Amino acid sequence: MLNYWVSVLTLGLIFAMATMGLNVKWGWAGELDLAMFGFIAVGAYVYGVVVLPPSKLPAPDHYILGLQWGFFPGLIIAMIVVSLLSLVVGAVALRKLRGDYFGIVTVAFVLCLAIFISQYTFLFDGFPGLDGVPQPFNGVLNLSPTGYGIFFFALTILFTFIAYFILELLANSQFGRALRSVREDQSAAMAYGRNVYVLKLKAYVIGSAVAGMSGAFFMAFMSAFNPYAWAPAETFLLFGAIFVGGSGNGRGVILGALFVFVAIQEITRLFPVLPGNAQASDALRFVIIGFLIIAVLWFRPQGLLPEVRDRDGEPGPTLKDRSISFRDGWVHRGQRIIRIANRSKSEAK
Amino acid sequence: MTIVQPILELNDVVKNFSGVQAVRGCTFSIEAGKATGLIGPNGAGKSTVIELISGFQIPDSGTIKFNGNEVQGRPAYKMSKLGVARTFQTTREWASLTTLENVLCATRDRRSEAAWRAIFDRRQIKRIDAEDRMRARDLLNRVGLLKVKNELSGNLSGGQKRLLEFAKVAFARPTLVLLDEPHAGVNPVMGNILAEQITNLSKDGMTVLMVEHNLGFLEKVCDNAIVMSLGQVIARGSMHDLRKDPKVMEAYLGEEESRG
Repeated sequence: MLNYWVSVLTLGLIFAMATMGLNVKWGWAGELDLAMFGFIAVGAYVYGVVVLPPSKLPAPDHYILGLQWGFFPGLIIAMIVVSLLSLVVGAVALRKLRGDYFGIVTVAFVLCLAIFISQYTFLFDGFPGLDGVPQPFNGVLNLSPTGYGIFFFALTILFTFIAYFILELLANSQFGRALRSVREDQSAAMAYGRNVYVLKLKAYVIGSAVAGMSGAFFMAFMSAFNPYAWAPAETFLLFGAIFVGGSGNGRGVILGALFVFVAIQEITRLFPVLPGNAQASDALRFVIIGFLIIAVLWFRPQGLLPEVRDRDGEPGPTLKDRSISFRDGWVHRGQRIIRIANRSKSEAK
Repeated sequence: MTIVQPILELNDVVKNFSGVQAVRGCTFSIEAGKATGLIGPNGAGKSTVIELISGFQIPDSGTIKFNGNEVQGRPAYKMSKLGVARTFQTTREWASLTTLENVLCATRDRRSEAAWRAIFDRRQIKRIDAEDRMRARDLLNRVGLLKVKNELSGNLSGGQKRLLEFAKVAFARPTLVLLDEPHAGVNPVMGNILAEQITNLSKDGMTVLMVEHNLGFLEKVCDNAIVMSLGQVIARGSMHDLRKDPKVMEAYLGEEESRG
């Protein structure tokens, strides 16, 4: 029973990573990226071929590389490859297209990618996919299956936390604020000197890198991956997790992912198995998530944990200060911030 | 009288929107450090001129010179880098950002927005943020929005959104300010404060070009005005002179006078 729950929660956290990546794209920058599962899959495949030994499969089955480089190189190379791939996709799709039109291009991309990977057996062995990917560090640790499960769970928690921490730094910085301004009104963001295309591309690549990370963890956890494992439609589950948890809220989307990928999964498992229709409970999962998305958007459109709003605590200047120059600047002098009369900040430095 | 270098020169600028000639051979220049009004009846092409100068539209022909350099066809974000800031006729606040964040986001300083700084240079960007917040609070105070600084800007009233647009433009510290109907929807008391603040902008050496239908408001702020009709400049001068110009009376002011 412990084994079971540890593995369910590990998988939940791996999907939480992917949801965090999608949150960068959708929650911060407002990009309707429907290719997310494609990036997760590429992350998984690349991790696999970096970690696996060279391909000894009978022709035409084959996979590239086979470097046996271990967990961390695999993880890093997976993230780099996915980032570069998303850079190319984003550079084309974000150039002129907004909203739904951008979404259509990403769908087209992910469908092409799925066909390409499943048909081109030289790359990642097509339909049979990769299997036998070794469990990271278990060669050294020699843990029991339960012990290893807990170890890998801890590793997943650690990396989920690292990703969360870095993304929160980005979200709460001027960079995150700039992205939110692009999400709210692109033209106005442009009017204040933002190169909207470059900003959106940055968000797209950062989000995809996190997707690559979750793909690598997925592969390390499942130790096998093939085209059946990534129906592009699963991207909607990630969107569901974001809507339920709270778009733009880092903690919210983790909560949403655990809700959609763990809680609902477990609830549908309790349904009786229909004779002659073994797939029914799995299909019901999608139905329930669909209803859940509608219910959340209807009753609580901001999600369980809404986006955190900036709370500026300090009082401002008093009314009589009104007639001073617009060229005044404020600069730090030690700990205090003082007004420099009639100079812009850049000049004062 | 010394000759003042024009900061902005439009020469024979033409813009068509699929058959409709919005601007047909518009030529004018404005001097640095002055507030100039841009008036004319609806459909005269005033807002299109603003769009063309700020880089949101590309002229079909003609040249736009800013600080002596030809800038027509440059994208809006590059115009902003050169020192042009604008407001929009329909206010465009970033609705799910707070009022204060809206002002902070109106900065033209791109360095603090680098993603790597958010992770590796946090001290520096926090300092910049603290300094920016002081200035943003001051600007919100000037336009009477300090009490709603933590409200989502999408929930502000129409007039408050107008004032917020002004605070944002002032925060950007541009050299050329393009205001598209800054007074629309603003109550008389705040209107007076706004007039005072726009005057302050030009006192501080910023050049203001302002489209406005409220001529009383325009007179308080602007030294002189350019009158457009059917996509061309038909007159320019002080408001007093323009009221006497029969061409202007016919195109615009006459209508206004007979109404009120």
